Amino acid sequence: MSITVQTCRACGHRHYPGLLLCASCAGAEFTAEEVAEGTVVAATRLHYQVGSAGDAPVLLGVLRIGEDGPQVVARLDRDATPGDRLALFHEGGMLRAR
Amino acid sequence: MSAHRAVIAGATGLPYRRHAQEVTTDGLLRDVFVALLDQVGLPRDRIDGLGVSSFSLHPDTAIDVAWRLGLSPVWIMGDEHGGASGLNMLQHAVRAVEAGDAEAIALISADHFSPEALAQLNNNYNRTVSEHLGPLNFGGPNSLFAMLTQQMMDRDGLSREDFGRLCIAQRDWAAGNPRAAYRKPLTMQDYLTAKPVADPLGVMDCVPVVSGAEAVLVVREGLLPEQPAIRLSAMKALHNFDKHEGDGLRTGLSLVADRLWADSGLTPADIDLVQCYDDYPVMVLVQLRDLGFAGDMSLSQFIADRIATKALPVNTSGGQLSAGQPGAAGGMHGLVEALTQLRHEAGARQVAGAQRAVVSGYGMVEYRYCLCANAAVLERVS
Repeated sequence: MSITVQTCRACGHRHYPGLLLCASCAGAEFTAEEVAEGTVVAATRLHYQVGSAGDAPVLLGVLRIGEDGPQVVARLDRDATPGDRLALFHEGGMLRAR
Repeated sequence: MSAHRAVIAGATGLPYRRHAQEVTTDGLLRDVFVALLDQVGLPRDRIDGLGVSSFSLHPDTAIDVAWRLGLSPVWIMGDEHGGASGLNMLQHAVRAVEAGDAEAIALISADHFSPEALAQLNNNYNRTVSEHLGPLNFGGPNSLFAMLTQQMMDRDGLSREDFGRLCIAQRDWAAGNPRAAYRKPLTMQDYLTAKPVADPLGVMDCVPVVSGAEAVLVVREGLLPEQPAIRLSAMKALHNFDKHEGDGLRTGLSLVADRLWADSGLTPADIDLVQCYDDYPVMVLVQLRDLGFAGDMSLSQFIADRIATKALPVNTSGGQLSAGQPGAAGGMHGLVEALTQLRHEAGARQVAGAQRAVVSGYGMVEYRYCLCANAAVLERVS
Protein backbone atom coordinates (compact mmCIF):
# COMPACT_ATOMS: atom_id res chain seq x y z
CA MET A 1 0.00 0.00 0.00
CA SER A 2 1.44 3.31 -1.07
CA ILE A 3 1.04 6.33 -3.30
CA THR A 4 3.61 8.09 -5.46
CA VAL A 5 4.79 11.66 -5.13
CA GLN A 6 6.88 13.55 -7.66
CA THR A 7 10.48 14.07 -6.53
CA CYS A 8 12.88 16.50 -8.23
CA ARG A 9 15.94 14.69 -9.55
CA ALA A 10 18.12 17.77 -8.96
CA CYS A 11 17.18 18.88 -5.44
CA GLY A 12 14.90 16.20 -4.03
CA HIS A 13 11.96 18.58 -3.47
CA ARG A 14 8.67 16.65 -3.47
CA HIS A 15 5.35 17.65 -5.03
CA TYR A 16 1.81 16.33 -4.96
CA PRO A 17 0.16 16.76 -7.40
CA GLY A 18 3.12 16.85 -9.80
CA LEU A 19 4.29 20.09 -11.42
CA LEU A 20 5.93 20.98 -14.74
CA LEU A 21 8.98 22.54 -13.09
CA CYS A 22 10.26 22.00 -9.56
CA ALA A 23 8.73 24.57 -7.19
CA SER A 24 12.08 24.90 -5.45
CA CYS A 25 14.87 24.76 -8.06
CA ALA A 26 13.00 24.91 -11.43
CA GLY A 27 14.38 21.49 -12.37
CA ALA A 28 12.46 19.64 -15.08
CA GLU A 29 13.38 16.03 -14.32
CA PHE A 30 11.56 14.02 -11.75
CA THR A 31 11.30 10.56 -10.29
CA ALA A 32 8.25 8.90 -8.77
CA GLU A 33 8.73 8.16 -5.09
CA GLU A 34 6.56 5.73 -3.17
CA VAL A 35 5.26 6.89 0.19
CA ALA A 36 3.23 4.73 2.53
CA GLU A 37 1.85 7.08 5.15
CA GLY A 38 1.03 10.61 6.14
CA THR A 39 0.23 12.61 9.25
CA VAL A 40 -3.20 14.16 9.59
CA VAL A 41 -3.09 17.98 9.50
CA ALA A 42 -6.85 18.59 9.34
CA ALA A 43 -10.01 16.57 8.88
CA THR A 44 -13.68 17.20 8.23
CA ARG A 45 -16.95 15.34 8.01
CA LEU A 46 -18.90 16.41 4.94
CA HIS A 47 -22.63 16.22 5.63
CA TYR A 48 -24.16 17.68 2.55
CA GLN A 49 -23.35 18.22 -1.11
CA VAL A 50 -24.87 20.70 -3.55
CA GLY A 51 -26.58 19.18 -6.56
CA SER A 52 -25.97 15.57 -5.50
CA ALA A 53 -27.42 13.09 -3.06
CA GLY A 54 -23.85 11.76 -3.01
CA ASP A 55 -22.67 9.28 -0.44
CA ALA A 56 -22.53 11.76 2.43
CA PRO A 57 -21.41 11.81 5.13
CA VAL A 58 -17.90 11.68 3.72
CA LEU A 59 -14.74 11.89 5.83
CA LEU A 60 -11.94 13.92 4.29
CA GLY A 61 -8.53 14.89 5.53
CA VAL A 62 -5.33 16.71 4.69
CA LEU A 63 -2.22 14.66 5.44
CA ARG A 64 1.42 15.73 5.36
CA ILE A 65 4.01 13.41 3.84
CA GLY A 66 7.03 13.20 6.13
CA GLU A 67 8.23 16.16 8.18
CA ASP A 68 8.12 18.81 5.48
CA GLY A 69 6.73 17.06 2.42
CA PRO A 70 3.65 17.86 0.37
CA GLN A 71 0.17 17.87 1.90
CA VAL A 72 -2.39 15.61 0.23
CA VAL A 73 -6.18 15.53 0.38
CA ALA A 74 -7.58 12.05 0.97
CA ARG A 75 -10.77 10.19 1.83
CA LEU A 76 -10.49 8.91 5.39
CA ASP A 77 -11.68 5.41 6.21
CA ARG A 78 -12.25 6.45 9.84
CA ASP A 79 -12.50 9.49 12.07
CA ALA A 80 -9.07 10.99 12.60
CA THR A 81 -7.59 13.94 14.43
CA PRO A 82 -4.50 16.06 13.74
CA GLY A 83 -1.32 14.16 14.51
CA ASP A 84 -2.70 10.73 13.61
CA ARG A 85 -0.47 8.75 11.26
CA LEU A 86 -2.45 6.92 8.58
CA ALA A 87 -1.56 4.59 5.73
CA LEU A 88 -2.09 6.10 2.26
CA PHE A 89 -3.27 4.08 -0.73
CA HIS A 90 -5.18 4.34 -3.97
CA GLU A 91 -8.40 2.40 -4.35
CA GLY A 92 -11.43 2.87 -6.55
CA GLY A 93 -9.80 5.87 -8.25
CA MET A 94 -9.48 7.60 -4.87
CA LEU A 95 -6.59 8.60 -2.67
CA ARG A 96 -7.53 7.04 0.66
CA ALA A 97 -6.13 6.93 4.18
CA ARG A 98 -6.70 4.47 6.99
CA MET B 1 4.27 59.49 -16.76
CA SER B 2 0.98 58.22 -18.14
CA ALA B 3 -0.44 59.99 -21.17
CA HIS B 4 -3.92 60.09 -19.64
CA ARG B 5 -5.56 59.71 -16.26
CA ALA B 6 -8.17 57.05 -15.77
CA VAL B 7 -11.15 57.25 -13.44
CA ILE B 8 -13.91 54.82 -12.57
CA ALA B 9 -17.12 56.60 -13.57
CA GLY B 10 -19.76 53.90 -13.27
CA ALA B 11 -20.62 50.85 -11.16
CA THR B 12 -23.82 48.86 -10.97
CA GLY B 13 -25.26 45.37 -10.70
CA LEU B 14 -28.42 43.35 -11.02
CA PRO B 15 -30.44 41.96 -8.11
CA TYR B 16 -29.13 38.57 -7.01
CA ARG B 17 -31.69 35.78 -7.47
CA ARG B 18 -31.78 32.29 -5.96
CA HIS B 19 -33.03 29.49 -8.23
CA ALA B 20 -33.75 31.94 -11.05
CA GLN B 21 -35.78 30.57 -13.93
CA GLU B 22 -35.69 31.63 -17.58
CA VAL B 23 -32.38 33.40 -17.09
CA THR B 24 -29.26 33.09 -19.26
CA THR B 25 -25.72 34.28 -18.70
CA ASP B 26 -25.96 36.18 -22.00
CA GLY B 27 -29.14 37.90 -20.89
CA LEU B 28 -27.60 38.91 -17.55
CA LEU B 29 -24.55 40.33 -19.32
CA ARG B 30 -26.80 42.37 -21.62
CA ASP B 31 -28.98 43.65 -18.78
CA VAL B 32 -26.05 44.75 -16.63
CA PHE B 33 -24.31 46.37 -19.61
CA VAL B 34 -27.47 48.37 -20.43
CA ALA B 35 -27.84 49.31 -16.74
CA LEU B 36 -24.26 50.62 -16.77
CA LEU B 37 -24.89 52.76 -19.89
CA ASP B 38 -28.11 54.07 -18.34
CA GLN B 39 -26.32 54.97 -15.12
CA VAL B 40 -23.77 57.22 -16.83
CA GLY B 41 -25.78 58.31 -19.87
CA LEU B 42 -23.27 57.07 -22.41
CA PRO B 43 -24.40 55.67 -25.79
CA ARG B 44 -23.41 52.08 -26.55
CA ASP B 45 -21.13 53.10 -29.40
CA ARG B 46 -18.87 55.18 -27.13
CA ILE B 47 -17.73 52.01 -25.34
CA ASP B 48 -14.41 51.08 -26.97
CA GLY B 49 -13.15 48.47 -24.51
CA LEU B 50 -14.73 45.33 -23.06
CA GLY B 51 -13.70 42.98 -20.28
CA VAL B 52 -15.83 39.93 -19.47
CA SER B 53 -15.69 37.45 -16.61
CA SER B 54 -17.93 34.39 -16.42
CA PHE B 55 -17.72 30.67 -15.67
CA SER B 56 -20.88 29.79 -17.57
CA LEU B 57 -20.19 31.45 -20.92
CA HIS B 58 -18.39 28.53 -22.56
CA PRO B 59 -17.73 28.05 -25.39
CA ASP B 60 -18.13 31.80 -25.92
CA THR B 61 -15.47 34.32 -24.97
CA ALA B 62 -15.40 38.11 -24.58
CA ILE B 63 -15.40 38.73 -28.32
CA ASP B 64 -18.59 36.72 -28.80
CA VAL B 65 -20.20 38.90 -26.13
CA ALA B 66 -18.88 42.03 -27.90
CA TRP B 67 -20.54 40.86 -31.12
CA ARG B 68 -23.84 40.13 -29.40
CA LEU B 69 -23.77 43.56 -27.76
CA GLY B 70 -22.92 45.27 -31.07
CA LEU B 71 -19.57 46.57 -29.85
CA SER B 72 -16.42 47.23 -31.94
CA PRO B 73 -13.79 47.33 -29.19
CA VAL B 74 -10.18 48.48 -29.60
CA TRP B 75 -9.34 46.67 -26.32
CA ILE B 76 -10.71 43.37 -25.07
CA MET B 77 -10.04 40.84 -22.36
CA GLY B 78 -11.60 37.80 -20.76
CA ASP B 79 -10.79 36.82 -17.22
CA GLU B 80 -11.66 33.58 -15.48
CA HIS B 81 -9.74 34.17 -12.27
CA GLY B 82 -12.89 33.91 -10.15
CA GLY B 83 -12.63 35.89 -6.94
CA ALA B 84 -9.63 37.81 -8.27
CA SER B 85 -11.14 38.58 -11.69
CA GLY B 86 -12.77 41.90 -10.85
CA LEU B 87 -9.61 43.58 -9.61
CA ASN B 88 -7.52 41.88 -12.28
CA MET B 89 -9.70 43.36 -15.02
CA LEU B 90 -9.74 46.74 -13.27
CA GLN B 91 -5.94 46.80 -13.09
CA HIS B 92 -5.65 46.08 -16.82
CA ALA B 93 -8.43 48.49 -17.80
CA VAL B 94 -6.99 51.41 -15.83
CA ARG B 95 -3.54 50.87 -17.37
CA ALA B 96 -5.07 50.63 -20.86
CA VAL B 97 -6.89 53.94 -20.44
CA GLU B 98 -3.77 55.57 -18.98
CA ALA B 99 -1.79 54.38 -21.99
CA GLY B 100 -4.36 55.76 -24.41
CA ASP B 101 -5.27 52.33 -25.77
CA ALA B 102 -8.96 52.88 -24.99
CA GLU B 103 -11.08 55.61 -23.44
CA ALA B 104 -14.25 53.94 -22.17
CA ILE B 105 -13.93 50.34 -20.97
CA ALA B 106 -16.90 48.38 -19.69
CA LEU B 107 -16.05 45.48 -17.36
CA ILE B 108 -18.97 43.09 -17.04
CA SER B 109 -19.45 39.78 -15.30
CA ALA B 110 -22.36 37.41 -14.86
CA ASP B 111 -23.14 33.81 -14.08
CA HIS B 112 -26.18 31.57 -13.95
CA PHE B 113 -26.03 27.89 -12.95
CA SER B 114 -28.44 25.05 -12.48
CA PRO B 115 -27.60 22.90 -9.42
CA GLU B 116 -26.29 20.24 -11.81
CA ALA B 117 -24.10 22.76 -13.66
CA LEU B 118 -22.75 23.99 -10.32
CA ALA B 119 -21.85 20.46 -9.21
CA GLN B 120 -20.17 19.93 -12.58
CA LEU B 121 -18.14 23.15 -12.11
CA ASN B 122 -17.23 22.24 -8.51
CA ASN B 123 -15.85 18.85 -9.55
CA ASN B 124 -14.06 20.12 -12.68
CA TYR B 125 -12.87 23.55 -11.65
CA ASN B 126 -9.42 22.82 -13.04
CA ARG B 127 -7.41 19.72 -13.90
CA THR B 128 -6.14 19.26 -10.34
CA VAL B 129 -9.67 19.32 -8.99
CA SER B 130 -11.05 16.97 -11.63
CA GLU B 131 -8.17 14.48 -11.20
CA HIS B 132 -7.54 14.66 -7.45
CA LEU B 133 -10.59 16.07 -5.65
CA GLY B 134 -13.60 15.22 -7.80
CA PRO B 135 -12.95 11.45 -7.46
CA LEU B 136 -13.05 11.83 -3.64
CA ASN B 137 -16.62 13.10 -3.88
CA PHE B 138 -15.27 16.09 -1.94
CA GLY B 139 -18.43 18.15 -2.34
CA GLY B 140 -16.80 21.26 -3.76
CA PRO B 141 -14.75 23.80 -1.85
CA ASN B 142 -16.86 23.57 1.36
CA SER B 143 -14.80 20.67 2.69
CA LEU B 144 -11.48 22.39 1.94
CA PHE B 145 -12.47 25.62 3.67
CA ALA B 146 -13.96 23.67 6.56
CA MET B 147 -10.48 22.29 7.22
CA LEU B 148 -8.90 25.76 6.87
CA THR B 149 -11.49 27.13 9.30
CA GLN B 150 -10.73 24.41 11.86
CA GLN B 151 -7.02 25.14 11.56
CA MET B 152 -7.59 28.87 12.13
CA MET B 153 -9.84 28.12 15.12
CA ASP B 154 -7.13 25.95 16.67
CA ARG B 155 -4.30 28.36 15.94
CA ASP B 156 -5.98 31.68 16.73
CA GLY B 157 -8.24 30.45 19.51
CA LEU B 158 -11.44 31.30 17.63
CA SER B 159 -14.85 29.87 18.47
CA ARG B 160 -17.90 29.23 16.33
CA GLU B 161 -19.39 32.34 17.96
CA ASP B 162 -16.52 34.49 16.60
CA PHE B 163 -17.36 33.44 13.04
CA GLY B 164 -21.03 33.88 13.90
CA ARG B 165 -20.45 37.51 14.90
CA LEU B 166 -18.86 38.17 11.51
CA CYS B 167 -21.75 36.53 9.63
CA ILE B 168 -24.34 38.37 11.72
CA ALA B 169 -22.64 41.71 11.04
CA GLN B 170 -22.66 41.03 7.30
CA ARG B 171 -26.35 40.06 7.42
CA ASP B 172 -27.01 43.29 9.26
CA TRP B 173 -25.41 45.21 6.39
CA ALA B 174 -27.43 43.16 3.88
CA ALA B 175 -30.66 44.46 5.41
CA GLY B 176 -29.84 47.76 3.68
CA ASN B 177 -29.04 46.18 0.32
CA PRO B 178 -32.07 45.61 -1.94
CA ARG B 179 -29.91 43.47 -4.25
CA ALA B 180 -29.09 40.96 -1.52
CA ALA B 181 -30.75 37.52 -1.59
CA TYR B 182 -30.89 37.22 2.24
CA ARG B 183 -31.83 40.32 4.25
CA LYS B 184 -33.64 39.01 7.34
CA PRO B 185 -31.63 39.45 10.56
CA LEU B 186 -29.50 36.46 11.56
CA THR B 187 -29.34 35.54 15.24
CA MET B 188 -26.50 33.68 16.94
CA GLN B 189 -28.98 30.88 17.59
CA ASP B 190 -29.77 30.71 13.84
CA TYR B 191 -26.06 30.64 13.06
CA LEU B 192 -25.09 27.98 15.60
CA THR B 193 -28.00 25.65 14.80
CA ALA B 194 -27.87 25.98 11.02
CA LYS B 195 -27.69 22.79 9.00
CA PRO B 196 -24.14 21.37 9.19
CA VAL B 197 -22.31 21.30 5.85
CA ALA B 198 -18.75 20.23 6.58
CA ASP B 199 -17.50 20.38 10.17
CA PRO B 200 -17.10 23.00 11.56
CA LEU B 201 -19.00 24.87 8.80
CA GLY B 202 -22.75 25.22 8.79
CA VAL B 203 -24.91 26.51 6.00
CA MET B 204 -24.51 30.13 7.20
CA ASP B 205 -20.75 29.88 6.57
CA CYS B 206 -21.31 28.94 2.93
CA VAL B 207 -22.30 31.35 0.17
CA PRO B 208 -25.73 30.82 -1.37
CA VAL B 209 -25.32 30.49 -5.12
CA VAL B 210 -27.32 33.06 -7.08
CA SER B 211 -27.75 34.28 -10.62
CA GLY B 212 -26.41 37.80 -10.88
CA ALA B 213 -24.27 40.32 -12.72
CA GLU B 214 -21.94 43.25 -12.02
CA ALA B 215 -20.50 46.06 -14.15
CA VAL B 216 -17.86 48.79 -13.84
CA LEU B 217 -16.93 51.59 -16.24
CA VAL B 218 -13.36 52.89 -16.53
CA VAL B 219 -12.94 56.07 -18.60
CA ARG B 220 -10.41 58.73 -19.52
CA GLU B 221 -10.67 61.53 -16.95
CA GLY B 222 -13.01 64.25 -18.17
CA LEU B 223 -15.10 62.04 -20.43
CA LEU B 224 -18.01 61.94 -17.96
CA PRO B 225 -17.55 65.10 -15.85
CA GLU B 226 -20.99 64.85 -14.25
CA GLN B 227 -20.26 61.40 -12.73
CA PRO B 228 -18.46 60.91 -9.40
CA ALA B 229 -14.81 60.20 -10.24
CA ILE B 230 -13.07 57.42 -8.37
CA ARG B 231 -9.38 56.79 -8.76
CA LEU B 232 -7.44 53.55 -8.42
CA SER B 233 -4.85 54.89 -5.98
CA ALA B 234 -2.91 51.67 -5.58
CA MET B 235 -3.21 48.08 -6.74
CA LYS B 236 -1.16 45.02 -5.92
CA ALA B 237 -1.44 41.35 -6.75
CA LEU B 238 0.60 38.33 -5.74
CA HIS B 239 -0.60 34.95 -6.93
CA ASN B 240 0.78 31.54 -5.91
CA PHE B 241 3.07 33.28 -3.41
CA ASP B 242 3.81 30.10 -1.46
CA LYS B 243 3.80 27.64 -4.40
CA HIS B 244 0.76 26.08 -2.70
CA GLU B 245 3.01 24.62 -0.02
CA GLY B 246 1.68 26.69 2.88
CA ASP B 247 -1.21 26.29 5.29
CA GLY B 248 -3.69 28.39 3.32
CA LEU B 249 -4.16 30.80 6.23
CA ARG B 250 -2.08 33.50 4.53
CA THR B 251 -2.33 34.97 1.04
CA GLY B 252 0.09 36.86 -1.18
CA LEU B 253 -1.44 40.03 0.27
CA SER B 254 0.69 39.51 3.37
CA LEU B 255 3.79 40.18 1.24
CA VAL B 256 2.48 43.11 -0.84
CA ALA B 257 0.40 44.99 1.75
CA ASP B 258 3.29 47.28 2.75
CA ARG B 259 3.81 48.37 -0.85
CA LEU B 260 0.07 48.78 -1.37
CA TRP B 261 -0.11 51.19 1.56
CA ALA B 262 3.10 52.97 0.53
CA ASP B 263 1.85 53.48 -3.04
CA SER B 264 -1.47 54.84 -1.80
CA GLY B 265 0.10 57.10 0.82
CA LEU B 266 -2.55 55.85 3.25
CA THR B 267 -2.76 53.51 6.24
CA PRO B 268 -5.56 51.17 7.35
CA ALA B 269 -6.74 53.90 9.75
CA ASP B 270 -7.53 56.18 6.78
CA ILE B 271 -9.92 53.70 5.16
CA ASP B 272 -13.69 54.23 5.38
CA LEU B 273 -14.74 50.72 4.29
CA VAL B 274 -13.28 47.37 3.21
CA GLN B 275 -14.70 44.75 0.90
CA CYS B 276 -12.98 41.34 1.10
CA TYR B 277 -13.82 38.38 -1.07
CA ASP B 278 -15.99 36.31 1.26
CA ASP B 279 -16.29 32.82 -0.13
CA TYR B 280 -16.03 31.76 3.54
CA PRO B 281 -15.75 33.77 6.77
CA VAL B 282 -12.28 32.38 7.42
CA MET B 283 -10.97 34.04 4.27
CA VAL B 284 -12.41 37.43 5.23
CA LEU B 285 -10.29 37.26 8.38
CA VAL B 286 -7.22 36.07 6.46
CA GLN B 287 -7.44 38.97 3.99
CA LEU B 288 -8.10 41.59 6.68
CA ARG B 289 -5.14 40.33 8.70
CA ASP B 290 -2.85 40.16 5.67
CA LEU B 291 -3.76 43.75 4.77
CA GLY B 292 -2.96 44.96 8.28
CA PHE B 293 -6.46 45.84 9.45
CA ALA B 294 -6.29 43.67 12.57
CA GLY B 295 -3.05 45.32 13.73
CA ASP B 296 -1.94 43.83 17.03
CA MET B 297 -5.41 42.65 18.05
CA SER B 298 -6.31 39.00 18.35
CA LEU B 299 -8.75 38.00 15.63
CA SER B 300 -11.44 37.35 18.23
CA GLN B 301 -11.07 40.87 19.63
CA PHE B 302 -10.84 42.35 16.13
CA ILE B 303 -14.16 40.73 15.18
CA ALA B 304 -15.89 41.83 18.38
CA ASP B 305 -14.50 45.37 18.58
CA ARG B 306 -14.20 46.38 14.93
CA ILE B 307 -16.34 44.21 12.62
CA ALA B 308 -19.38 43.40 14.77
CA THR B 309 -19.66 47.03 15.92
CA LYS B 310 -19.28 48.28 12.32
CA ALA B 311 -16.49 50.58 13.56
CA LEU B 312 -14.72 49.17 10.51
CA PRO B 313 -17.35 48.69 7.82
CA VAL B 314 -16.57 45.30 6.25
CA ASN B 315 -18.53 43.81 3.35
CA THR B 316 -21.24 46.45 3.50
CA SER B 317 -23.37 44.79 0.80
CA GLY B 318 -23.80 41.86 3.16
CA GLY B 319 -21.01 40.22 1.21
CA GLN B 320 -21.60 37.09 -0.76
CA LEU B 321 -22.47 35.27 2.47
CA SER B 322 -25.74 37.24 2.61
CA ALA B 323 -26.14 38.82 -0.83
CA GLY B 324 -25.29 35.62 -2.68
CA GLN B 325 -22.48 34.24 -4.80
CA PRO B 326 -23.02 34.85 -8.52
CA GLY B 327 -20.15 32.66 -9.83
CA ALA B 328 -17.39 34.66 -11.49
CA ALA B 329 -19.45 37.83 -11.03
CA GLY B 330 -18.61 37.38 -7.36
CA GLY B 331 -15.16 38.58 -8.37
CA MET B 332 -16.65 42.03 -8.97
CA HIS B 333 -19.06 41.95 -6.00
CA GLY B 334 -16.85 43.78 -3.51
CA LEU B 335 -15.51 46.16 -6.14
CA VAL B 336 -19.00 47.28 -7.21
CA GLU B 337 -20.07 47.65 -3.57
CA ALA B 338 -17.01 49.79 -2.76
CA LEU B 339 -17.66 51.96 -5.81
CA THR B 340 -21.36 52.27 -4.93
CA GLN B 341 -20.37 53.46 -1.46
CA LEU B 342 -17.82 55.94 -2.88
CA ARG B 343 -20.48 57.19 -5.31
CA HIS B 344 -22.69 57.74 -2.23
CA GLU B 345 -25.41 55.64 -3.82
CA ALA B 346 -25.60 52.90 -1.16
CA GLY B 347 -28.93 54.00 0.31
CA ALA B 348 -29.77 52.61 3.75
CA ARG B 349 -26.32 51.03 4.15
CA GLN B 350 -24.36 54.12 3.05
CA VAL B 351 -21.18 54.72 5.05
CA ALA B 352 -21.47 58.46 5.69
CA GLY B 353 -19.05 60.54 3.64
CA ALA B 354 -17.13 57.52 2.30
CA GLN B 355 -14.03 58.71 0.43
CA ARG B 356 -11.57 55.82 0.60
CA ALA B 357 -12.09 52.10 0.25
CA VAL B 358 -10.02 48.93 0.08
CA VAL B 359 -11.14 45.96 -1.99
CA SER B 360 -9.42 42.60 -1.94
CA GLY B 361 -9.86 39.62 -4.21
CA TYR B 362 -9.13 35.98 -3.50
CA GLY B 363 -9.87 33.00 -5.65
CA MET B 364 -9.12 29.96 -7.76
CA VAL B 365 -9.01 26.79 -5.72
CA GLU B 366 -6.11 24.67 -6.87
CA TYR B 367 -5.81 21.74 -4.48
CA ARG B 368 -6.07 22.74 -0.82
CA TYR B 369 -6.85 26.46 -1.09
CA CYS B 370 -6.85 29.31 -3.61
CA LEU B 371 -3.94 30.66 -5.62
CA CYS B 372 -4.95 34.22 -6.48
CA ALA B 373 -4.92 37.33 -4.29
CA ASN B 374 -5.08 41.02 -5.12
CA ALA B 375 -6.08 44.28 -3.50
CA ALA B 376 -6.86 47.85 -4.49
CA VAL B 377 -7.15 51.21 -2.77
CA LEU B 378 -9.89 53.37 -4.28
CA GLU B 379 -10.43 57.07 -3.60
CA ARG B 380 -13.20 59.42 -4.57
CA VAL B 381 -11.58 62.46 -6.20
CA SER B 382 -14.70 64.48 -7.15
